[in-house]
Amino acid sequence: MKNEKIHIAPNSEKPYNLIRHILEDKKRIQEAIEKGVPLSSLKGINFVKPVQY
Amino acid sequence: MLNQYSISTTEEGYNSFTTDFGLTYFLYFTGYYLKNSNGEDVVVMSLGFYHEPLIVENRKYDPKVKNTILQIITDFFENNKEMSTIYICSTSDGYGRHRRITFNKWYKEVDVPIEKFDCREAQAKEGLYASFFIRSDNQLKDYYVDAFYRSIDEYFPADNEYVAA
Repeated sequence: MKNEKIHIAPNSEKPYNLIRHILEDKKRIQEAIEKGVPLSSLKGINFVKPVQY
Repeated sequence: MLNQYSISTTEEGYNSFTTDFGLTYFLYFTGYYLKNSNGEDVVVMSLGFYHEPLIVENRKYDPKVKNTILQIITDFFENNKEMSTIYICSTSDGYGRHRRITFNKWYKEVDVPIEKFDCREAQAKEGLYASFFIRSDNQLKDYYVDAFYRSIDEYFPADNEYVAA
């Protein structure tokens, strides 16, 4: 399907399992914040800022 | 929205607010991709949030928490009309199903037209409480929903019908 509104990610790694990836990231993020570890130090997690205050 | 907490965005990129009862909530978005029917990667967000301390005794109902989280979701869909997001309820403390029930009620109060698509019932019985949110007026809604189910079926293969809430 061709459409400008579809955001296609280039050159992704494979294999890739969406749910497993999200669950693992959630756990890592929670542990990092609890320990005061900067999130920017977490490799492989793509933090985005779609809303800012 | 009135009756909500003040939200701040940290340099780290997550949003946070602290309640009148001393709980600090952290909300963040992370980027992933779904698989479309051509095997291409379609960008999607995932919303996550939790509070500290994690364990709360004698918890009191605080409507301002709901209002604040809904404000963030509303702002997300107001400012990112073409985007969609996944929310997976944490099950680490055994309350994943409870969170799903709560979120099922909450999202209907979001101030923008969005639809929620839940993972299949068989997947929920296996402990996965994942939902996909997208604006109702997104012209590519069906495309994204199809990609969502294709992607989660890689985790829990099943043959059930889509579940729209």
